[in-house]
Amino acid sequence: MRLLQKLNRTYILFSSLLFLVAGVLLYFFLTANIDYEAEEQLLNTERRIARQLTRGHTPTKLFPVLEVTQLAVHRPQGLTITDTTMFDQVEGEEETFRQVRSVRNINGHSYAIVLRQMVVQHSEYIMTIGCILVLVMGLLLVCLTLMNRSIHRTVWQSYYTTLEAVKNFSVHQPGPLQLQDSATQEFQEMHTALSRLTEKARLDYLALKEFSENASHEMQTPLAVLQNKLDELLQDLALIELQARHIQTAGTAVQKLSKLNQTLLLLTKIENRQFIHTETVCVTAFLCRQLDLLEDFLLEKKLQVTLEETAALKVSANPALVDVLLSNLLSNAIKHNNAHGCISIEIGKNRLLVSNSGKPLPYAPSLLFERFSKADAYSPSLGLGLAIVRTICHLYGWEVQYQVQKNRHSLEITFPETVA
Amino acid sequence: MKILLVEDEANLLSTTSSYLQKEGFVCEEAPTFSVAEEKLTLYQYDLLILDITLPDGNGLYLVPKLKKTYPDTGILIISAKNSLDDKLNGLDLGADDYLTKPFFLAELNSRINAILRRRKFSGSTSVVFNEIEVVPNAMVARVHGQELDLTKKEYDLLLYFLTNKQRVLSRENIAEHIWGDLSGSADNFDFIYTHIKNLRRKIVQAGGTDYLQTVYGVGYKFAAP
Repeated sequence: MRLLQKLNRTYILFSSLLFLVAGVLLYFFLTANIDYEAEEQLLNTERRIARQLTRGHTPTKLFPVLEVTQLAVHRPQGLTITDTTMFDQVEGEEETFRQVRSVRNINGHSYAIVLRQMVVQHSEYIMTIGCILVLVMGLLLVCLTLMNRSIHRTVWQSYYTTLEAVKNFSVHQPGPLQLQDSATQEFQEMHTALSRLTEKARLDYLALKEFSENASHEMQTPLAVLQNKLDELLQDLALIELQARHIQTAGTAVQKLSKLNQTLLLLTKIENRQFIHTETVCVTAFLCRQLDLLEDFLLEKKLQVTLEETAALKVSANPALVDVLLSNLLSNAIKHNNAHGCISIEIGKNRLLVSNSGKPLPYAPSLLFERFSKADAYSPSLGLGLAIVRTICHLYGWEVQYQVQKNRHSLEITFPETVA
Repeated sequence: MKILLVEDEANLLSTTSSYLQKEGFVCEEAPTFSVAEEKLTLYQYDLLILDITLPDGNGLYLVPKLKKTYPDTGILIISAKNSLDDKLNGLDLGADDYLTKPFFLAELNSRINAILRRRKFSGSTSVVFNEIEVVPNAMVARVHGQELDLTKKEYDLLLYFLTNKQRVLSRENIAEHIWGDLSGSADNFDFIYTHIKNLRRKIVQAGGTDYLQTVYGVGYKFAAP
């Protein structure tokens, strides 16, 4: 719900409650007051008539408002106030009257005095109060809405500009986040906080990037020394075969360490979104190139590859990363395949499926994409291939899923509709 | 052929330098940016081997300078950063090739030779070993003047062996040269054997000597028996 809507809704709720309470209070006070005043007026009139009678005047009769009759028999003095319903000829309908009926003994005669006053019915009060309140409330709401809208347009404008700026912020951007100064103190404070936060994120990112590059450099150089020295050692003609094998084993370990280092750095770089350059990539063409490059590995295991393309698949991504993704997918399908096995690749609208024959997974499928998940602890593989696949998919919002059916393992990547 | 080797890691500098001297190059060493800059102003080299990350400056800055003064000098960049940016930057600035640490010395040698062939001899030179001749420009290999029908990989292998004669090349080394990063995709390096077997067969069938020796079961060496 938008802020304006939310505010308006709250205003309406609270003002309705307030007006309801005000209406109820108004009704009770008003009716009580009016009833009291009406009664007092009737009693005063009755007293005035009594005074007139004392002076010997007999007031005129006026039905139904005033009736004075001299009683034939002597009756004790008394006064009652009641409500009564009578037919009013002037109005031409039944009306409620407040009626004061009293007996007065004046100058040795008994008089019956009846005074009536038309009563405003309570339902009419309710109607009137209700109408006024609803009208006032309506006016108030219109005013509030207009006021809110104007506040929204002027005061909140600064907020929306800032929001847009923050949305577009990226840690890769070369300079700090630029925010327009706001005259509103709260927004200005928010700007300061946001500027500090984004600048911190940006600088941290830069430091991390620098660190990952330095780490790479610092590690690769000693590895290069190791590898070259081992290689030189291998050239020694006085070596016996056992020594040569030891040197080779050491060399393989150095190479593996170096690959591991490079691969972890690659993962970090992908996660840091350091591959910014994007272009439209034809997946089939890239895939065919990778298959060519992997030809020897396919032949070695005598794998049969089938490629089925039902629709052209073009994605918008960094071409180097697409290469890495496809290469890892295919390498994975080769590595975990049986000799004389098969790999089938399906390319369709917004999807790519690579499936291969192979042994059942030795660990839970949920671990498949985790780093260093390996089928066999002694395998020469790094166990990072599918972690890279997942990281790249994650970067571009693609979905990757693993399925297994009768020792046939499939990895399917679904691309969202909007690609390219 | 005169080479300037710029590398800040002393061990790597001496190993590489002595290796290159053994290969018949005149090799001068520069451990810092300033020494490298000085030497490049004073002398002319056929090839500059440049480590980008130096304690006193980014080696990449030397590339455009050198391009201005001695445009004929070949440039091979060596970097620990396998970052695409550096690679593209270096090549854009006019470097001839890019090698990532760690590397095999044989691979370095092969890259150096490729650059020198292109720059100094416009690629017209051929690599000869007794009856075997490889013409890199035309991607042709001959035995006794008779052209061999080699696949791309067999040809690459032969040229790599010829460039690195008398040297034990481990299977990892060969795999790295031919398959690059993909060499990690294999469980073992048996597939190299297939290519070597075919290469051997083709050379022998054309009447050539089999110079390929298997060494200790760890690799191969191309040398006169």
